Amino acid sequence: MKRVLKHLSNGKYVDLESQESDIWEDSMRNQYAQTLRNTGRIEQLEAGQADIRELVKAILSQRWPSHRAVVQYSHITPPVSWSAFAESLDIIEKQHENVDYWSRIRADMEDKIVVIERTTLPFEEKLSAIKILYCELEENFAEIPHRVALCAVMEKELAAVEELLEGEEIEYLAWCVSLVRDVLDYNYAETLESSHLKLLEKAIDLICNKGMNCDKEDYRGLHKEFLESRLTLVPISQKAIDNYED
Amino acid sequence: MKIEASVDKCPPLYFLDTSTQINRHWADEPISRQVRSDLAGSKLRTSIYVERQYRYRVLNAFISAHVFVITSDDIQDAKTRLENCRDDIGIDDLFYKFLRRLFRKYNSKKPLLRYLKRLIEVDWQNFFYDAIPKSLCDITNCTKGADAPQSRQGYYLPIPKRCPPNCNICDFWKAKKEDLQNLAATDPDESKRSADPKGTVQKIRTEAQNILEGKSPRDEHCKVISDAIISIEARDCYPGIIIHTMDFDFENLKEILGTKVRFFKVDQDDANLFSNLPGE
Repeated sequence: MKRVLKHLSNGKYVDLESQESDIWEDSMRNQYAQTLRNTGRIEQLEAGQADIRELVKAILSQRWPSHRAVVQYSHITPPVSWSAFAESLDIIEKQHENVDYWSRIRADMEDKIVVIERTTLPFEEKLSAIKILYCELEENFAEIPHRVALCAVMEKELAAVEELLEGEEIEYLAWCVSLVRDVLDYNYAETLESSHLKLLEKAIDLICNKGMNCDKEDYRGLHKEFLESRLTLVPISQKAIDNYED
Repeated sequence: MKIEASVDKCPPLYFLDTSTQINRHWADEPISRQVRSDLAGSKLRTSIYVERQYRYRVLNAFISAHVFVITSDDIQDAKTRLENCRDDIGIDDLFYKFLRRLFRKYNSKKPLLRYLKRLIEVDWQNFFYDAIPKSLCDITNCTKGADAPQSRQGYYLPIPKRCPPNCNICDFWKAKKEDLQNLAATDPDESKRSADPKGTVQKIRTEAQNILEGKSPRDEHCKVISDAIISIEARDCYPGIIIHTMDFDFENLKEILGTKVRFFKVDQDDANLFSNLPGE
């Protein structure tokens, strides 16, 4: 019986006997490696499709994911069909024998696991949103109504992060978040200057980049810089009086 | 002419009294902005004794709020409790208003407790040392609240009203006996009495006489005579320095103690944000 397989990339049927088997194997290996790389794509994780642990664990344990998992995560699988690929067991068997190849994949996927664990913290997703908001604010800083609206949204987002940090023991990160929130809460956005904007950027960068590693000195330095910028940091401003007095 | 011109250009050197220190950052903006504006471009100094007074007043307000919030079911409960006993605790209008706004801002206890914690552990120091070199003069060796804030099992301990056992104020007055004698001999004439409606100079005079007679200058006694202490240390640590204050009692003391004073009066009717009591 003549063996034919549907070529995975272009959908055409290929006559195996008429092909150089080495070329075919190389082609499959390359596609498979790409498959795994695609599976771990960080941008997919960041887009909220982070829960692929089952899939990754299956790969790490060197067994194929269940059909259910393939269906469940089909939206993040690469353009190559898993089921079609699994049918090519004879080729996969050979790949199993390649220990170095699997070691590389394991190491690669373990890195991805770290990324997955990190990105699943809910407040970090919020912080990413704040960073995006800041970019919008920077772009539209000259337009005062836009600035006012974005500052108000950012303040609400920071309040939400503060709430999310309630259950976390990340003291100094919470302090930094609360400080930036205070700046937006106690100062009318229309009074902000471009130097203040730079300071806000610095603070948001610190919060996003250092995250849980923020320490007391980071906070102290940030507070001092805001203080020297003559922004109001405590509820004594007209805005605070308007908002929080009976 | 050249010398005079260069003298004119010299920024004033101010010694910040507790009233100025508190109002420049904690008073409502119409006041704090005026104070900061008045200080802008000047060289600023202060003392450990002023820092102790500031620490006592600022930290005790925030520590009291922290204690009430942490031991209450919710923020509303904490607010009511604080309201009921704020006079006993000694929280004045300025800090009461401040705390009331915080109670309105926060919906749940934990973020509010965190906020109070950062005020207690870091923020107050940054505000105090704003534009002031960290090496403060210290001829009183006052130790009141020097190790505050202290916490035990998550509860901050307020700074006690009484001076600690290792208080050195007796030594200070031994060294400044001449000033004590001048203060004790003060007999303000009728015209000056009208400028001292609270009779602070008279109280200081009585206190000075008591210290000269060997009575304790500690605790409440120190509080009564604290404006004189600040005047003396400013004069002796920084010759020629101007005491920047919002407390008129310093004006009354300047002739007796030979100090220069810049009494700053805010341009606003609502000037009761800082209670003008000695030692406060």
